[in-house]
Amino acid sequence: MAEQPIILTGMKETLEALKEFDKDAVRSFGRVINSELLRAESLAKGFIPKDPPMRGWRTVPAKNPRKTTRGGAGWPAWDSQKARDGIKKTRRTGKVRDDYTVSAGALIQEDASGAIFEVAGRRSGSVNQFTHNLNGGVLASRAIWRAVDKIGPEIRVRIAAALEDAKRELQANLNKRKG
Amino acid sequence: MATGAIVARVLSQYNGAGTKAAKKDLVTLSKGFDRMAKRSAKAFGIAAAASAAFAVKMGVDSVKAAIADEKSQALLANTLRNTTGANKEVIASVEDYIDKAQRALGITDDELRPAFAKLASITGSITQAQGLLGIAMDVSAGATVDMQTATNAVIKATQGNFKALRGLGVQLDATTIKTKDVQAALAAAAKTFGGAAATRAETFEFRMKRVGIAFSEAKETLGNALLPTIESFFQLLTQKVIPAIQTWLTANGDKLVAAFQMAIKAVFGFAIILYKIFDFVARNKDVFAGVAVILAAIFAAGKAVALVTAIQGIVKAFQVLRAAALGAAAAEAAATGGISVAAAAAGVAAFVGTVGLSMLALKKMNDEMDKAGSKVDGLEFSFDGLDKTTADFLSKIKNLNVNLKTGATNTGKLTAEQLKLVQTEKTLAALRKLGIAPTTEKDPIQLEAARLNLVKQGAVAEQARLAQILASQEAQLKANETLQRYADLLVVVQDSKISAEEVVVLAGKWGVSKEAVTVYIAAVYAVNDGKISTDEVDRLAGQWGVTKQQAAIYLDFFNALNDGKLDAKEIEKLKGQWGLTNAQVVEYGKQITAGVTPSALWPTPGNQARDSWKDALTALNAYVAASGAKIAAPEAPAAVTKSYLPPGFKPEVILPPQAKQPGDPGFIGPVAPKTTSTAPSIGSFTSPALVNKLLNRMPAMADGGIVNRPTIAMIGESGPEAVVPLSGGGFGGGSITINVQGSVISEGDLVAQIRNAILQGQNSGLSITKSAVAL
Repeated sequence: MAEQPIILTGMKETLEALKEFDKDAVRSFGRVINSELLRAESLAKGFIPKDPPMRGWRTVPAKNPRKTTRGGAGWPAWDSQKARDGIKKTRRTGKVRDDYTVSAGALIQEDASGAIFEVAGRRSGSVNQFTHNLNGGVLASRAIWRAVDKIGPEIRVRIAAALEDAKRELQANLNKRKG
Repeated sequence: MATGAIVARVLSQYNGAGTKAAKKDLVTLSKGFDRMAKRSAKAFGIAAAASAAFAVKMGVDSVKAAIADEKSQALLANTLRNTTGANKEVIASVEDYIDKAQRALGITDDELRPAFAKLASITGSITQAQGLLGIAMDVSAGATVDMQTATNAVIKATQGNFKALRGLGVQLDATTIKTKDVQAALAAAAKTFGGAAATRAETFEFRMKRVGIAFSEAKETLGNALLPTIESFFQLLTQKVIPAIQTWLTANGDKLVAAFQMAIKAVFGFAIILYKIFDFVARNKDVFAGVAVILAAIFAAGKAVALVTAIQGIVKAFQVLRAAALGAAAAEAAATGGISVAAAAAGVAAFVGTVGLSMLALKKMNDEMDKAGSKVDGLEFSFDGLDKTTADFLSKIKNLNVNLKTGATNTGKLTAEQLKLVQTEKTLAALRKLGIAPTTEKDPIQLEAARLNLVKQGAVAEQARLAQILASQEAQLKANETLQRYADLLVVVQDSKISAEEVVVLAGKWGVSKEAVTVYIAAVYAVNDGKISTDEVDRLAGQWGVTKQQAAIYLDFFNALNDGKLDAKEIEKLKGQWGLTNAQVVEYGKQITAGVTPSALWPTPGNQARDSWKDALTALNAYVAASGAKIAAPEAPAAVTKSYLPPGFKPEVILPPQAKQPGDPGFIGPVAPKTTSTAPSIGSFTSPALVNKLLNRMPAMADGGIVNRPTIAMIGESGPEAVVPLSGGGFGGGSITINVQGSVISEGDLVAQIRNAILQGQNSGLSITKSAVAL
């Protein structure tokens, strides 16, 4: 998983205060985040293979799915389009994490087959036959995590810089008001 | 977000939700601490009280044992001097022999000394007495009789009377009896009972007895350490207190009788007076204030994190209070045990009575404080129920800090949670009054969250860096403090001695105790030549009441800490030399830097008991001082100036009448001004080794440097230097004044004069520019 050396502070307060002076600046900051997340999203989608990543992974849903798998839904069929469409950017804050931070931007994979492709073998860390066949023996971080690992640091630096610009903008406006 | 969706974090932020979660976790953590602290508080209190009580018991028993032992030793020594002409060394060797014998054989020195004294008297020889004592010990063990019986039998045998010896089971042949062959009789005794004492010593009973003897000897040793203080105590009692009371009794006897005949009210009033004389509450004002502040801080911190520290502080406060009460007890013991009752019966009665009454008052306060202390478990603290005489002070405390009682009354109808909130708010308000900045809702929590995050991520490097900066700053401050102390010492030893008054002044200036000052002076002197002699260690160990090893450790640390810190090399050296761990070296360094004295660094029951006695002495001095206005006390003797410099510190004049110049042999510092003043200067200071050592420890500025505040430093140690103020003129801002003296005939002479002046200016640090030499 990508490291998180940059933690944004005061983003919500800055943007709320800046809204009073310069809504365009707020929108501009939002566009920076969206565009950066979109870049990551596109990159992640590009990592989804068109063909099933593993031989024998059927491309149509099972007629009689195993009742004990996924609440009776059975093993998901591989559909590269669905797997790609399942990747989305989100700015929901979500729950508070163990490090007392919340999300300010993330990629999610909502498709079941895409999620399996993303994380299979990740927890055990062992390259067994399944994970060996999956993606040529490479361990997990195959789509969204791979994208975040690749361009996440760059995104964070850019957004942190944009936030600093927003803070400066806010400070300048506050100084102006002060007189 | 769909259930089961995979999330890859791109951006993280702190916001209110994170803050709330962090706060919640901190509260949970605090509750954990709280529970732990509650469980341990009682144990801490009990252990502290028990150890304090044990220390005092040990002290009292030890003094008694030491007094008895000293008497026994004195009697034996006197007998040996009179009968065998033994000198000090021989008597010491006999004492050593007796000590070894009692430890090895389980026979007490109280039995051995009289026996040895008798045998020495009979034989007139130490050597023969030792031999006969050995036989007597064997006979005592073999025949199962006490040492006195066995010794008497041996003595009679040496006089040709073998009846007693035979009665104990020694078989003598007819020839020996008939010829009264003493040597044969003693040989027979030795043959009969030889090795009996050693065999008996290995039995379980005597092994236990030997343990008991070793313990008694330890107590006697402890008592010997206490005796000097006790002696001072007695002197004060006999020379000042009792005469003062006697004088007062003479003048006010009738009134006193009337006062004692009055009912409990009058007696109680007398106790109150004495109680005030002891000035107990006033002397412990800071302790009370400290306890109150700590308690307030507990409430502000969610009743948790500081609790353990607070409990320790409270226990310490109780110990201080008890020590004062024990002071009164000590005075009572001394008054009843050490004074001629016939000579000062009335005075003793009055003193015991008044001290006893003050004891009641102190005991009452102790009991009440204990009750209040037990309430700490419930995190409540009540100042109610204390002695009436403390009411004024306590009311101030209440105003100063938190009026908990009022708060509880006004908020009695609120829910528990609301009560807690109100309590916290009140405490915060009280803290604001004390100048403690209130905390905001967000920042500290966010900082704590960030800190926890750093810890979780293993990013401790930043923390370490900050800690290093803080440590460096602290070390710098300590170094400056050390230099300041050296400078202070230089000033006070100008007259080649350090008086008690100067010690008091230094203690006040440095913010340490008088004992710490004397320890500091002794340590500086001991390490001033860069090496620590065995004699110094022995002397200081006795003076400080610690072992020789502890004294040596202290001096080594003191020497290593001359720059205010321990570097890695010094730590390694100390670890290797004294078998300490890294943590122990660092801890010792901290304590010694903080001015902790050796006796406090290695506390022993003896030291604690001795401190109690010292407290008692202080209390008694306070009593005498305070009673001076009311009691016709005898005039105080002329003040005696006590020198705190070590023995061997002999004043000597270093500078000859004609002051020496730099470079001359014997020059040790700035030249004494050529004035007619007789006041000593640093240049005429008396101990060259000490002065040079102190001067060498000052920062040298030979390589230049910038100072931005008052700093004591050495300049000119490696040749001429210029001290140039950075504000005002600064570098290059000076001008060169050329005084042309003598006759200048030729142009060459003028050029030479100007050139010399410019060179002189250049050597003084001036920048020679075109403008500077413009005509």
